[in-house]
Order: sequence, then structure tokens, then C-alpha cells
Amino acid sequence: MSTTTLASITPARKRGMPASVKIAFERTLIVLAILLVWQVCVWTGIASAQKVSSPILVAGRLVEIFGSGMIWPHLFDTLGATLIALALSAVIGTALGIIISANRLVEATLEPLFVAIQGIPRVAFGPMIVLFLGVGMTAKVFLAVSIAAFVFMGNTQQGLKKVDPGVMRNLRLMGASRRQIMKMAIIPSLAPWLWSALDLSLGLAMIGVIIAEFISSTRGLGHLISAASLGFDTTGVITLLIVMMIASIAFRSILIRLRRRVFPWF
Amino acid sequence: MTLVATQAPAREAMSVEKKARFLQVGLLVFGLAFWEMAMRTGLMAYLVPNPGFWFSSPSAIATLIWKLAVNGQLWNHVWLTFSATLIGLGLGAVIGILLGVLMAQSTRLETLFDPIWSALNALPKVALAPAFAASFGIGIASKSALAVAIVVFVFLFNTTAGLRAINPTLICNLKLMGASRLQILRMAMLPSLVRWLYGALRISLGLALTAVVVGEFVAARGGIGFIIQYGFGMFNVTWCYAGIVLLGIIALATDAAMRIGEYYLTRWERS
Repeated sequence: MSTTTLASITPARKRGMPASVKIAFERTLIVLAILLVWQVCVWTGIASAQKVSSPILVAGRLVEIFGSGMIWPHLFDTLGATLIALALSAVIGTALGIIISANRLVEATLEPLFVAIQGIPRVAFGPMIVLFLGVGMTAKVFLAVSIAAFVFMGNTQQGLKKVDPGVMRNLRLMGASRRQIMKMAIIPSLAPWLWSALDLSLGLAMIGVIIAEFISSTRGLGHLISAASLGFDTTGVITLLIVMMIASIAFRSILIRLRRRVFPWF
Repeated sequence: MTLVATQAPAREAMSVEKKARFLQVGLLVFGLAFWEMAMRTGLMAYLVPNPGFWFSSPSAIATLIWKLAVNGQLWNHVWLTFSATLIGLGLGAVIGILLGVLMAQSTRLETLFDPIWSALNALPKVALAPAFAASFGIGIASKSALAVAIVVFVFLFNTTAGLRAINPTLICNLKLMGASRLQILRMAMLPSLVRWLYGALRISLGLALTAVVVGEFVAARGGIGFIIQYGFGMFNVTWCYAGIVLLGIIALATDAAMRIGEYYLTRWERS
């Protein structure tokens, strides 16, 4: 009996690949097709390699910068600044959010101020920050924090507002201590908000760091890109953009993996 | 007694709002006055050497803005930044919406291109600024292009999300009544999209302005980013502060305009 069922199932499976494999296959094909068109354009002379580079040139450069190891200090500088900025933003932003939410008057007074600061593109402060803090890690981290901390602050405020008042009342009724209320009601309700703040501010922090590197720096991916475009080195620019893209995707996927581990319920 | 009990919190909340207004004005006036006095009396000189270099002063900033306004340069700079932002916003919106509508035509297309959009979106697009300056020149084109590169994705994602949020029964009914693809687009998809697109517009406004300012930092002959970068280059922070103030005014004014627009556009939902 079992053999007949197996026999009847297997051909159906064999006829088409599993859907996920098929989609992945087709996606790869599309990317390859785009790369091929790009390369052919350069080969046939429709576009000059000087201006648009080519996949082969970029691949060669990728091998070169990773092979010689010249990229690592710059990559670590940018990623390190981003991570430090994220950590600082989380601490400062969450603390600010808690302090502001603690008092209705303080919140009503400072709210428009923070809305105004958030309305101004923070990059405008970039040159000032570099002027004050000098060229280096501190300025990069500061600019990134000035962007990302507000995300944490806003989300903390929202999360604290969304704590279920019924749960709070019941906990108090049952004689829960401050710490118990914190542990049982506030932190679980705040956690998803903080996590989404982390997700949002990841990209923002990286942008802050890169802008600071554009303005003035001696190290980092932003510095390399700036230098490559000043030299009209298109291959270098595209290669570095790809490195940045991979770094940011890797960052995000690590974060998502971590979330599944830490908070499996959402 | 009950009347008092129910009214008291309302009155208290009112007074908190009012108190906050007073505090805000007070803090602002006090802050500016303190800043000005600290610079004038030389109080700051005890804390840092040469404080005028670092902190300028409110009167110096106001004087500079006034001077620029009188000799006409100010309008030129503001217009450069503002027009580059609007062009980038407009082009980005059109391209993003078209791509989004195209992607929504078939689920196959959407699944195929989804990772490409996400990968491009993961790229910190301000990183393109020097590259755009090198290929589009230092005029308005490179700034607008950078704004487009950022804004497109906001509109693309909001369009696909808005189209997905449409009630499927509505589309089924339209199909049943023999509506063409174009009719479905016009009668079901576009009306539902309006809200999502407005959200996209509000988000993109700030992003486009940021992109233009970054573009102006990298290479420009004018614009508010140029004013800030000029002050940075000349070690004259009054210019930096003036640029920040101007940018703040633009950002707050456009945001207020968007809020008013939203209020009128969504009036039918409230009535």
C-alpha cells in the first residue's frame, strides 16, 4: 500500500521544483539578466566603462579590496560607530522617553520642542558637530545619536501610553511592588516598541555616520566613497555601495534572527 | 459632589496645557536671552576661550539673516533648496507610484522583484550623493536625483501596501460587472490609495529635504546646505546657525501646510 502512495506522490513532486526554490531560481535569473545587460552594454560600447563601470570590473575590485584587506579598518570604523551610536541612542532615547512620560506638565512643555527638532533635518547640524567635536569617531557617533535617539524616545513614549491600564490596576490591587509592576506590565508592553525602534534606527544611525564621514573624515566607508567619486572612480563607488548594502542587509538579518531568539512571540 | 468630581480632572488638564504654553514661551525667551547675555557680558569667556567663535549669538544670527534677505541672496538660496526638494519629491512620487501599480498587477511580478527593492532600500542612499554630484554635475539635477532615489522607495512601498489593503470583495464585484483593468484601477485602487499616498508624501517631504541638503553639502553653488557648509569651511558658525534656522523654518512651514492639507482632504471621513 505504502509503495503505491509513494509512487503516486513522487512524480507530482518531481514535475515541478518546490515553489520556494523556483522563486529563488527566478530571482537569481533576474539579477543575472540585469548584470548581463549591464556588461553587454559596456562591451558593445553603448555605455563607457569609465562612466558606468561594469560587473566584471566591480567584481575584480571587490576581490581586490577584500583580498588586500584594505577595506577592513574602514568597514569596522563605520560599523563600529553605527553600533556605538545605536547603543547610546537606545539608552539616552529610552531614558528621555521615560523621564518625559513621568510628568504630564514636562511632557506638554517639551513635546513641541522635540517635534521641532525632529522636523529639522538633523544632517544640518553635521558640520557644526564636526566643528565642535573634531574629525573622528566622536562626531560620527554624535550625529548618528542625534538622529536615532529620537526614534527611541518617541517609541518609548508610545509604548508607555499603551500599557494596559486594567493590568496595572489589577497588579496594584494585588499589592504588586513598583518593581513587580515594572517587570510584569511595563517591560513586556515596552519591549516590542523598543524593538521596532531598534529596527528603524539601524538604518538611520548608519546614514548619520556616513554623512558625518562625508563632511569630514579620514576613515570609514563614507570617506572612501567620497574619495572615489572625487577621483571619478565609478568602479570604486559602485563597489563600496555594494559593500554598504551587504553590511546593512547583514546587520538587519542578524537583528531579525536575534528577535526570533529573544522574543519568539512576535 | 459628583459634579465636582467629574469636572475637576478636566479643569486640571486644561490648566496643564495652559501652564505648558507659558513654560514653552518662557523657556524660549529665557534661552535666547541667556544665550545673548552670556555672549555679550563675556560670561562664556570664563568657560571656553573665544566663545563668539563657537556659539555666535542670537542677534548675530538674526542680523546675518536680515542682511541676506535685504541683499536678495537669501531668496536665491531658499529657492534653490526648495525647488530641488519639490522636483525630487514630484519625480520620485510619480516613478514610485507607477512602479507600485505595475508590481500590483501580478503577484508573480511582486515576488520576483521584492528582494531587489528590499536590497536597494537597504542601501543607505545618501551614500550616492558624491556619485550623483560627479555624474549629474553640481547643479540642481544631482540634488533632485538624490531625493528621487530616496523618495521612490517610500512611494513604491506605500503604493503596494495601499493596493493590498483594498477590500477584495470590491474588486470581485467590479470584475463580476465586467470592469476592465483600467476601470478597476480608477474605481477601486486609486481612491483607496489616496490615504497611503498622503502618508508617503509626509514622510518623503523630510527625507527629500534631507537628501537635498546632503547633496548641497557635497557640492553646490547655492542653497541652504551650501550656507551651512560655507560657514563650516570659513569657520564662521553664524552662517551654520543661520542655515539651521532657515531649514527649521522651511521644515516646520511645509509640515504645517501638510497638516492643514490633510485636515481638508480627510474632512469627509470625519463628517
